[in-house]
Amino acid sequence: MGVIGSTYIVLIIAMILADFAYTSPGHIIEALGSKEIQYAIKLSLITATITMVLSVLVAIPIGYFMARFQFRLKKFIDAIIDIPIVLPPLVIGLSLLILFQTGPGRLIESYVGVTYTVYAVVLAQFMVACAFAVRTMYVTFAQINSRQEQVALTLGCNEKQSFFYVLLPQAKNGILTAASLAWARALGEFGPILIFAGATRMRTEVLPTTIFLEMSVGNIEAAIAVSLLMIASGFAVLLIVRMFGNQKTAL
Amino acid sequence: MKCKILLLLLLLLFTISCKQKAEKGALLVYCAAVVKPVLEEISRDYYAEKGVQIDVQYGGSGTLLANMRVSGKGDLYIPADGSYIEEALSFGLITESKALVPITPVIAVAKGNPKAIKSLDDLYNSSYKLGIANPDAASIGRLTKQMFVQNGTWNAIKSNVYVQMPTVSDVANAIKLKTIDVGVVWNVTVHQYQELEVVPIDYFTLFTKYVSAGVLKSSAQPEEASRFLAYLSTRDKSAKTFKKYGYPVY
Repeated sequence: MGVIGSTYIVLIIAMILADFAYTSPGHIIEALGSKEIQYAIKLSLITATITMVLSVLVAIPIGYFMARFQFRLKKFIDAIIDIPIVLPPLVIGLSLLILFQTGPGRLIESYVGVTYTVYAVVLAQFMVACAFAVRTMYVTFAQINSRQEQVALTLGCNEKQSFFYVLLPQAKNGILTAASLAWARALGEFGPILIFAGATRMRTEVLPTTIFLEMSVGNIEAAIAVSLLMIASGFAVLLIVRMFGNQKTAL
Repeated sequence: MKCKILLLLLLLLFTISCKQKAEKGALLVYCAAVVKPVLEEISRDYYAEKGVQIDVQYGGSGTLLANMRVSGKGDLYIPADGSYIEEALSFGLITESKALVPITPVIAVAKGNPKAIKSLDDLYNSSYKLGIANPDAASIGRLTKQMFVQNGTWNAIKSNVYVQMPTVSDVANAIKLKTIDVGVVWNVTVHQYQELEVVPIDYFTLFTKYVSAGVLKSSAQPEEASRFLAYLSTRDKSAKTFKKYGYPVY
C-alpha cells in the first residue's frame, strides 16, 4: 500500500524537479521582466480571484439547498451540477461561444461585449471552478448536523439568523476549501479560455495561454519558468488554506 | 483487498491491450492544422497502398516545432510555411525536406459578404471585428504580422485586432460562428468552409508560401519516412488530392 501511495507523490515531485532542471533562475527573472508575462500574471490573479468570489457566492446557496432540503428532481439537479466537471474543457468553451451567438446571447453582447474579452476569461473560469465549489459546499453542509440550527430556531432565531449565525460559522473551513479549490481551478483553466476568449497578447492572455504561446515560439525555457511561477503560487494558496483550515473538514 | 488488487491488475491489462502505438512501423507526422484535410486523405490512400500507418499530430506550425524539440520524437514535419523548415533546420531537427504546394494568405468573410468588406483598408476600420491567428502560434499569424510590418501598418492593425487565435482553423471557425466579421487565413482554408468566401487582396499574393515537408532526424525509420515524403511530393499521386482540397497544384 505504501509503495502504491508514494509512487504518486514521488511522481508529482519528480515532475517539478524536472521542470527546475530545464530552466534557470536567469530565465525566471527574464520571464518576470517581460511586459506580456507581467500582464498575464496580473490578469490571471485578478480573474481567478473574481471567479473565486463569484463561485463561493453561488456555491453557498446551492450547497445549502442541496444539503438541507428534499425536493423532486434533486438527483437530476445533482447530476446537472456535475456536468462542467465531466465535460472536456474544449466543449465548455465551444458551448459558451455558441451560447453567445444565440438570440439572448446576442442581446447581452449588444450591451457588454463578452466573447473574446476579459469577461469571457472570467466566465470560462467560473463555469468550471464553480462546479467544484458547489460540490465542496454541498458536502460541507451535509456533514454538519442540522440539530444546532433547529435548537437555534426553538430559541427564537428565524431561519435567516440560524443560517448566518449558526450554520455558516461552522462551515468556515468548507468555505475556505471551496474558495481555494475554485481559485486554483480558475488559475489553471486553459481550454475554454483559448476558444471563448482567444489568445490575444496583452488582452486575454492568462498564464496558461502564456505557457502555450511561449511553447509555440520555441521558448521552452520561458514556458517552464512561467509554469514554475504557477506551481509556486498555486502551492502557496493551497498551503495557506490548509494552515488556516481545521484538518477535520478540509477536503 | 485481494479483490481490489485483482481488479486493478485487470484494469492494467485492459490498458496494455489497448492500441498503444498503433501498428508497428507507423510514422508519426507533425502537421500544420491547415493541411489536415488533405493529409487525412493522403494517409488513408497511403495506408491502403503501402500498408504503412500514418499517425498525425495536428497544431499550429510553431506549436508543433516546439513539441518536436521537447519530445525528440517523430518522423516527419509538415508546416504550412517553408520558413518553419528552415527554423527546424537551424535546430538540427531535419535531414531532408521538400516544398509541396503553394498557399496564399487571403481575407475571409462570411458567405455573401454581409458586411461588404472589399479592400485592405477595411481591416483598419474598427467597426468590423477582425480576427487573426496569433503571430507566435501559427504560421499564418506570423505571416500576417510580417505583411503588415512590411507595409508599415502593423501597429494600426494590431490595435484594431479584435481577437487572436491559436490556429488558422480557429479563425475560420470564428467567421463561421459569426463571432468575428473578417479574418486573415490561407486561401485553402476558405475552400474547406462552405460558409466562407474570399476577398482577394493583391498585396497578399506577394506573400505566397509553400507547404513543405521534412524528415526528422529523430526518425527511427528514416527510409520509410523518406518514402512518404517522396509520395507526398510526387505529382500524380498526391497532386490530385491536394487539388481536390483547393490547392493550386504547380
